[in-house]
Amino acid sequence: METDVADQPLDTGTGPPSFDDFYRREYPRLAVLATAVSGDPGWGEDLAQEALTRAGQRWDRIAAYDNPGTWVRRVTINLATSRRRRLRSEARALLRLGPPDPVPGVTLHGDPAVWAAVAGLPPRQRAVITLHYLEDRSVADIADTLGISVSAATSNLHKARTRLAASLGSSDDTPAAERSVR
Amino acid sequence: MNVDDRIRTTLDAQLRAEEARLANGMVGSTGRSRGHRGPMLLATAAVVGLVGIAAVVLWANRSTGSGDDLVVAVTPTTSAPVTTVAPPTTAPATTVPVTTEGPVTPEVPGPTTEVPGQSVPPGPTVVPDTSVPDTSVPDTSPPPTGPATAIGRVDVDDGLATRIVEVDVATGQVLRDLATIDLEASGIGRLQVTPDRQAVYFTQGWEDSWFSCESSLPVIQFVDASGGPSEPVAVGNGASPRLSPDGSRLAYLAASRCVPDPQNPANWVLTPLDTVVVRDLATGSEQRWTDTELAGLDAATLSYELLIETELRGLAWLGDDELVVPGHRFRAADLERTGDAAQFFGTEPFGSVVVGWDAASGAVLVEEVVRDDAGETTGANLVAVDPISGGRSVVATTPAGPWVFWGAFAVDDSGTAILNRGPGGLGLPDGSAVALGVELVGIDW
Repeated sequence: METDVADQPLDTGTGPPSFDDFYRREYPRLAVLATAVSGDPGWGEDLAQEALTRAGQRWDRIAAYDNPGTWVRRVTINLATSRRRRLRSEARALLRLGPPDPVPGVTLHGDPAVWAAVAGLPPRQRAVITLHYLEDRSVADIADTLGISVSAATSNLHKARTRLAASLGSSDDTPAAERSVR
Repeated sequence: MNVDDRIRTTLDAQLRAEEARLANGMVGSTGRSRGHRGPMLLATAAVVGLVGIAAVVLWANRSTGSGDDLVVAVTPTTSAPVTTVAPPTTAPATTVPVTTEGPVTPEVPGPTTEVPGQSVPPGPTVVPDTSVPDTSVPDTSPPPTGPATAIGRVDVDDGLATRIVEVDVATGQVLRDLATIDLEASGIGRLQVTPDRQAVYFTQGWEDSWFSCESSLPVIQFVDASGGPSEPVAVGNGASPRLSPDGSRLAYLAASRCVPDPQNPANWVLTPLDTVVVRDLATGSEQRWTDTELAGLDAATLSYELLIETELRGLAWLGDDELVVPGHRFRAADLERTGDAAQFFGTEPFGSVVVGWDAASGAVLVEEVVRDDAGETTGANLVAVDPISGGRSVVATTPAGPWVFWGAFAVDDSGTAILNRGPGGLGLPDGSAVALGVELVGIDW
């Protein structure tokens, strides 16, 4: 599995990274992160783009951060978490426009049982699981991304992994997720 | 394949699919993306200064499922029959039989699921305090004398638990522990403290509230504040509990049904707040009013958006004998609808919390959280809203600083706004602050 992509330097030159490079590198991972947290792949794409839009709007400032990826991940998680609330604010517009069209080609891939199990987790645990398993992020990185303490991130990761093991019918309750964190 | 490998493989498969869609130019090409057209257009959007429309709620800022922060405008509707709930029985978690008076609320066909029973424990006896607090709209001068103590929350265990404590305002020391609550996958709403400070009410909701009817509504919890630490007792299921100024009644919002979300029935349930409940704290008896327009919607054809559009949000007392929700005014004694009201919670749907009522002007005092473009909370405004006309004016605002979520404002017994600033201090409207030995994350007076 490809690891640590998000931590690699964006640019090889001396200037700030271009937003276009940042977008192309981060978009797929943000889409998966938002899909896991929101439970909807269509919304995952939408929310990833929303977060990147915000980064683009203030790219001069964001590009100067030590890790713009952390900023945009936090925004993505915030957006995915508040999906329902966003729907509320958009209710009037949606009523006028009608229900959204299905997004062609956007679906869940991989093991459906895994997605169902992830959907059964509280949103924060979904985010922790995705950051850990998709990106091999350390607990410290996850804590920084979510704006929580390391012990809270550790606790969430452990609980999420335990719940997933139970949901997926595994007798293997060894917290491998904890073993592999850096 | 073990669990770890299954999770990694699945997330990786999704990642490959997203990478392929991006490489093939398939991202941002649908109407669902609200006009996004991929990186180049995103960059263009940045140049022309398009602003994202979504409000962001920080994870830590959620009062998860408490309902206090979910405030949208509602459509005025006609009055509805009041359903009376029988007085409380003797044991917690007892489903209260519902008796009806007058026409029965129309039964909604379709996949309707019963809302979790209104579990009503032995009603905590609260001696009404007949002295009505003066909740005048605060001016900017500090009070001549402030309250000696405050009841608030202190988060512990890295936010995984919270303590409800009484704090000496002058010294900042914790005087009493009233309760400790596990926040695992849950959040709690604003504390409601009776005028005699013998009882505390609050909502506790769950992060996964949208997955099942059982968890879709918060539980209204009661804590006995007359002595030492005690266990919270569930009063019932509902949102936005608000005590009448004299402390004799507790009003809250509830739901008459729970249905699968037609757009995503596997993952979401809808439990629209369509009912106003007033509970007499001395007797435990309850009066109910259900919005006929909302209750009458056909569940087979309803849309999530329409439910949201018509849902009741927010609740405020106008003195001891009258209360208001957006669109409706009621007589408290029998929940007889007395007239229309403004849709006064529609301006800031994600952060408005009713914090009080100004007896002099009749305005409802609403706390509105202020956020920056990225959704980070930067402060809060205290807004006086005319419940009839909807007219509004900002009466206080937080000065710059790291403000604690929820409870940035409270109104003390003398009617002065007390700002709850973190970490570790209470701020007054004039900018002065009272240092506390603990960080309160939600207070009431």
